[in-house]
Amino acid sequence: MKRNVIIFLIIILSVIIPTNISYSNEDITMKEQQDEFKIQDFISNSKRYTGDFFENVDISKILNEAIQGKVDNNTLIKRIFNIFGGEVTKNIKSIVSILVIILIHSILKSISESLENDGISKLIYYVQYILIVTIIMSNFSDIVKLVQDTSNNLVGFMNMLVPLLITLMLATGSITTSGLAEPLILFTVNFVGNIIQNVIIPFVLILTSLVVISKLSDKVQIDKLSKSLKSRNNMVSRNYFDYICRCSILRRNFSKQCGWNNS
Amino acid sequence: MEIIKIIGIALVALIIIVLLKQYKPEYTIYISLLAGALIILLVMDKLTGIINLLQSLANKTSINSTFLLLLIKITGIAFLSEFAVSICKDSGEAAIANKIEIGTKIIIISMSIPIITSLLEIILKLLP
Repeated sequence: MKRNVIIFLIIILSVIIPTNISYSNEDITMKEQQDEFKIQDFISNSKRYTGDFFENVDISKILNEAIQGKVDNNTLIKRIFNIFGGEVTKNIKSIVSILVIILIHSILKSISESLENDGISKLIYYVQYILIVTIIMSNFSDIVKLVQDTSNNLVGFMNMLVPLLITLMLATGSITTSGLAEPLILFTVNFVGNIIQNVIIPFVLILTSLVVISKLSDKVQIDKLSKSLKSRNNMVSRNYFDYICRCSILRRNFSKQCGWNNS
Repeated sequence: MEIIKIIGIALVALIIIVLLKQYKPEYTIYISLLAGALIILLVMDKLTGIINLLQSLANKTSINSTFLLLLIKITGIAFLSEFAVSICKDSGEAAIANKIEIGTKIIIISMSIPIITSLLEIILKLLP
């Protein structure tokens, strides 16, 4: 009897006492979450690394839509194709300029080879060779600079992304993924950047310089040193690529076994 | 047909030289000089065409036109020196011909210094 009275009182009180329910809509919740995870800071900082990729695109809008489940792949795919096209055009221009240099060299070589004096002919060939190497090396230095910038951006962006990504994963409950699989892949990405910057690029630069100097004269030959460096560089690149593949496979298998989406 | 003109000039000069050698051998050098100059003048138009082609090729790409101009100048210097050297050798002045060769080599090396310097700068810039 006493229990029935208590239940009745509770029902009455719940009906009579006015309850003040605070209603928060979806936008406000999302904004609160964004503020909580400092996503806007991440977006503003990430602009340093994205360069002209998101030049005319509002990243916040894409992110908000992605949170709502409306992932706008078209914009990203369009941007990727634009950048890819731009890179291809640039590289085609470089190749065309190298072809033109070779053409000019062949014309001048045929003219200078007709000289009776062998000494002067060799000297002109030497100057032509140096000129061609200079022009090709200037193109090469641009490419190396591009690789260095890309590697720097990769490492910087990943360093900025790691804390936010792990926080978001922990918030969504992916504790094991955030604890093991993702740090592994993130470490790999950082490792990639560091290896490219500190090992592969210096190796390639030294190798190129040695090859150029070696080809300048028939008397001074440092071919063996450059070949040795080349083989070591290939070995490092091969092992390192192998490591990346293994890490990716490990992460994928791990995620599959745990039954998670491999995103 | 420039080639016919060139062959014609060369043959006429040769005949004159052969004839003059019997009576006035000291004049043969002048005929040789004149024939050489005429042949070079005839070829000059074609050379200008080649140089224009090279420059237009260089302008279409990002090749430094200063370097290309330098290269053309060096080739031109080599040709002129070749012309002078062969005349000296024809006159029996091998010593002067050698001096011209040495002078040409020095001039070519001094002219190619900017190219060598730029290559060295690029290599030094590339090295970590």
